[in-house]
Amino acid sequence: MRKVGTVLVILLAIGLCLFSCVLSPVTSKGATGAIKAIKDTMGSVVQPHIQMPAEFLHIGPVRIPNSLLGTLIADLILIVGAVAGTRYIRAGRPEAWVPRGVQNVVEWIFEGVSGLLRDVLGERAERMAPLLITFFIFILVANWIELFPGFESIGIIEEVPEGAHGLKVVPLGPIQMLTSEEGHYTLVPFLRAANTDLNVPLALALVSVFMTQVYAVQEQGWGYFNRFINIRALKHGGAMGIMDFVVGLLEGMSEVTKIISFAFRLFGNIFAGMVLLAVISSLVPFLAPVIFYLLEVFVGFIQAFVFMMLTAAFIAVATADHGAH
Amino acid sequence: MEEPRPGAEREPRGLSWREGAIIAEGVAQIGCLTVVVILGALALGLWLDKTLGTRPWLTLGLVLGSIPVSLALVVYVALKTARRIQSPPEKTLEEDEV
Repeated sequence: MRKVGTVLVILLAIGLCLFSCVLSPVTSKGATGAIKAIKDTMGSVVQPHIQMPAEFLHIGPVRIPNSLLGTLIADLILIVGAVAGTRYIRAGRPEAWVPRGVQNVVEWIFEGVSGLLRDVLGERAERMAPLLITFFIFILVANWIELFPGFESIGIIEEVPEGAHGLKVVPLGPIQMLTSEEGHYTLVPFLRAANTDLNVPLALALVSVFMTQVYAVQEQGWGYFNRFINIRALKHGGAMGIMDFVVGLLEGMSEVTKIISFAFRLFGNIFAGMVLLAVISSLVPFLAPVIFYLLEVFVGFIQAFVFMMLTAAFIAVATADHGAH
Repeated sequence: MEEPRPGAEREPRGLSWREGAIIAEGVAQIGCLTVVVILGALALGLWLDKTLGTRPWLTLGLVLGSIPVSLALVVYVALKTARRIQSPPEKTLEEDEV
C-alpha cells in the first residue's frame, strides 16, 4: 500500500511538472513533443502576459467573462459536494449515522468551522454560521480551482490590437501554442479563477458588510445607527458631544472602507498568486513552480479563513454592546 | 439557583467589543502579510537580476526565501493577537483617577 502511495506521489510530481511546462502559455519554439517542449522551454525567457480585467469569450452574440466560467465551476463543485454529502441524511437512511466518504468530509468541515464561530459569536453563531461557512467554502474552492491544469493556460488564440504586445504562434499537432518570439497573438483563457477578477471579491465584500448591518439591526434594533449619527450626543454633550458625533461619522466611514479592504485584500492576494506563478513559470518552468503551487494552496486557504473570520469579528463588534466600551 | 457542575459544557458567550476589534486587527494583518512579503521579494529579485544580470537566480532565491519568512510572520502575528486577547484591558484615565 505504501509503495502504491509512493508511486502515486512520484507520478503526481512528474505530471505537475509536465503540465506546468507543456500547458503553460509561455512555451517553446516549434516544439513537436512534450520532451522537446520541456527542453526548449527551459531555455526560453519571455515576459508572461498578465491582464488585470477578466478576458471576454465570444459565444455567438454573447460576451462572457472567463472569470464567470471559473465562478460557475466553483459553484458546480460546491453543489455536487453538498448533494453528495447530504444524500443519506436527506433520504433518512441509517448509513447517515456513521458518516463516510464525502459526508464525512462535509461534516468535518462544518463541525470544525461551526465550533470556531461559536467561540467568536456565542449563541448567535447558529443563525449566522450558514452565511459565514458559505463565504469560507466558496472562497476556498474558488481559490483552489485556479491551481488545476488548464486554468489560465488553455484558451483561444486571438490577434492583438495594433501596437499591443503579442507573441508568435506555432502549431503543435492539432493545437497551437504561443512561443517566446514577438508576434501578433495572445491567449484568451477559457477559465480564470473567480477571485482574480475584482468584481467577485467586491460582490462578496458588499454582501459581508451589508449582512453585518442586518445582523446588528436584528440584535440592537434601529438604535444601532445612533452609533454612526449620534444626535443624542450632540444634544446633551457640549464639546465632548460634538467630538462623539464626529467619531460616529468616522465610524460610519470605516464601514465603507471595510468594503474596499475586504475586496482588495482578497483580490490582491489571489491575483498576486497568479502573477507569481506566471513569472516563476517563465523564469524556471521546470520543478520550481511546484513549490509555488503549494504556497498558493496555503494562501488560498488563509484568504478564505481571513474573509470568514473578519466578517465574524465585524459582526461580533457590531452586535456587541457598544456603550460598555 | 443551581450552580453549574464543574466541567459541564457552557455555551460560549462570544467575543466582546474589545476582543472582536483585536481579532479583526490581527486577522487583517495576517491576510496582507504573505502577499506583501512575497511580492516585495519578487520585485526586488527581478530588479536585482536585471541590474546584475543574474536572471533567474536572485529572483528565485529571494522568493523561495520569502516563503518561510512570511509563514513565520503569520505565526508571530497570530500569537501576538492571542496574547493581546488574553491580557486584561488597559485602564482608562477615568478609571485610574477613581
